[in-house]
Order: sequence, then structure tokens, then C-alpha cells
Amino acid sequence: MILVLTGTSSWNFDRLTKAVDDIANEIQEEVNILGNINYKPRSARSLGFVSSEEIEQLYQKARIVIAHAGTGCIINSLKHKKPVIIVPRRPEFNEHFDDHQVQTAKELENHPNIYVVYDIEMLKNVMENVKQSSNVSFSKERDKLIESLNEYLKNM
Amino acid sequence: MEDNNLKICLECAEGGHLDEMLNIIEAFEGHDIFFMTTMAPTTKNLYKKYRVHYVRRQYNTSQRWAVYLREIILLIKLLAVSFIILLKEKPKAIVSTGGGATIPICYLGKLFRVKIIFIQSLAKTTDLSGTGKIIYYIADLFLVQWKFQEEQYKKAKYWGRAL
Repeated sequence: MILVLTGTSSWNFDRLTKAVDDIANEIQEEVNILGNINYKPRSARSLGFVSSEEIEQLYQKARIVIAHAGTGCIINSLKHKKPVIIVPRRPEFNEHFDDHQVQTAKELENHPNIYVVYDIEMLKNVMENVKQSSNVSFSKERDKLIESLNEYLKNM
Repeated sequence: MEDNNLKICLECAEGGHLDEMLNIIEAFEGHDIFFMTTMAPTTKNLYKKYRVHYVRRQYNTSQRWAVYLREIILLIKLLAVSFIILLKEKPKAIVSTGGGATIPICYLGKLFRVKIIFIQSLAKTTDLSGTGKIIYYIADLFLVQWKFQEEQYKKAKYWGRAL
């Protein structure tokens, strides 16, 4: 199952919704879209907003996550050990108020299990090349932060 | 070495700010923690697992919010609520990943000699968030999550990131 997360804001992201809907039309796999969805998909399922329990189940069921570049979506995908394709929202398409998502995506391009799509035409291609791995995890940078904070608090 | 069990306030708005905090929660193991966060679909079940104080956030700290009446009223309410939380809980430290409920409790906390630890959100890479710029002046520890931001801000330290 492909889980598509457009976030919780009211900014539209039709560019992504349309693209995943076109892909859903061509493949057999179930595609579920969450968030404030403007464009009405024909083949993909538009779920809108659901409870945190349902989101949990969707994450578990998903094979791949496609998400706007919200840090929550990215963290939660990796937490559930799912590879995540980030499609950053772009201000020139009125998808967000500034380009911080593009900046975030640029920094995460080389992160294992994170894939970035700037040009939506590339989405299907990237999807087909996602490596399914049981080794999806966070980087060592996370362990470093936890240990350093732990140490700081110990010595307070 | 004796165990240092501290009362710590984990402050963050809903969404990504909360997700970042939860993803480093092991950093606070052994301490007496409670959350201060905004009420939202992503936070409403948090009380099932942790102690939580729910508050209402401000909306935009990077604009000249003093001009907007709604923001002033929210600020006063938030100051009052933050004050009550500080009196009730008496935390030794406030750890914040930011969002619209951060500024009052951190500034008030500073007056009460609470240690202020601010973690700038992963989402901003080019400069600090509106909240970050304001907390920068009083933070005892100001952490950025991208190494290159250390050079941009004298006080900023890179100790890793939540992701």
C-alpha cells in the first residue's frame, strides 16, 4: 500500500495529489492520501483527516510513504521503518509560504531511506527505484543528540 | 555518582515540533518529565502516555504581532497559563523544540532561574525560526540541528539531530 501524506495545513498540494492519482490509475497497489485534499482523485483513495490510531495502522500497512517535506511525516515514516519519498512544497506553486521545505529536502537528499522528488514528473520513476529495506532507521546523529542532552542534564 | 532526577518541562507545539521531541525522548530518561503542548489531533492522545498541560498557541511570532489584538490577548492568556505551570511544577529545566507556545514560558522560566534549552527545528535550514530568534537571547543551551548553522550563530551548538 502506498501512503501519501500531504500534511495538516490548509495549503493545497494538488500537484502531488494529481500525480499520485495518475500513478494509482496505472498500478494495482492501493494508494491512500491523507490531508487537506482539494483535487478529487479518481483512482487513489482520499481519506482526509483520520484518528491517530488509524494513521498508526496506515503507517504499518504501507510499503512506501510519499510525503510533503514535513519533519513529522519524515520522522514517523522512518520510525515505522518505511522508505519515504519527500516531495517538498514550493512557494512558487502556492503550496507554502516560503521554501523551507525545499531547503529541508536538500539537506536530507543523502539520508538513507529518504528519496527526494523536486520535479513531480520524476515521482513514478523514483517510486520504482525505492529499495525495500528492513534496515530503515535513523542516522547516528540522533544517537549523538540523545547522548549529549542526557550528559548535559546529568551535569546540571 | 548520584542519580540526578530533575523535573523537566518538555515544551513544543503540535505536529513536527512534537514529533522531533518524541523522537529524542530517551534523552530525558530517569527524569520527571511533563509536556506543555497545544491541543490538536496530533497531541490529543499524548496524555495517555505522559503528563500534559495543554495550552493555546500564538500564531505568528515573526510578524509584528504586537499590532494584532488577537495575538495580544493570546499572549496575555499564555503568560498567565505559563506562570501557573511554573508555580505548580517548579521545573529545573525547560526543553523546547519550538512553536507558538514557547516564548512566554521560556522568558518567565528564565526569571525563575529555570535552565532554558532550545532545539531549533529541523525544518528551518537557512535561518532561525521566529521563535528561535527570540529565545536565542535567553537560552542556556541553543541547539541547531544542521551543523552548518553553528557557524551562523555564535551561541548555537550542533549536537546531532532528531532525525
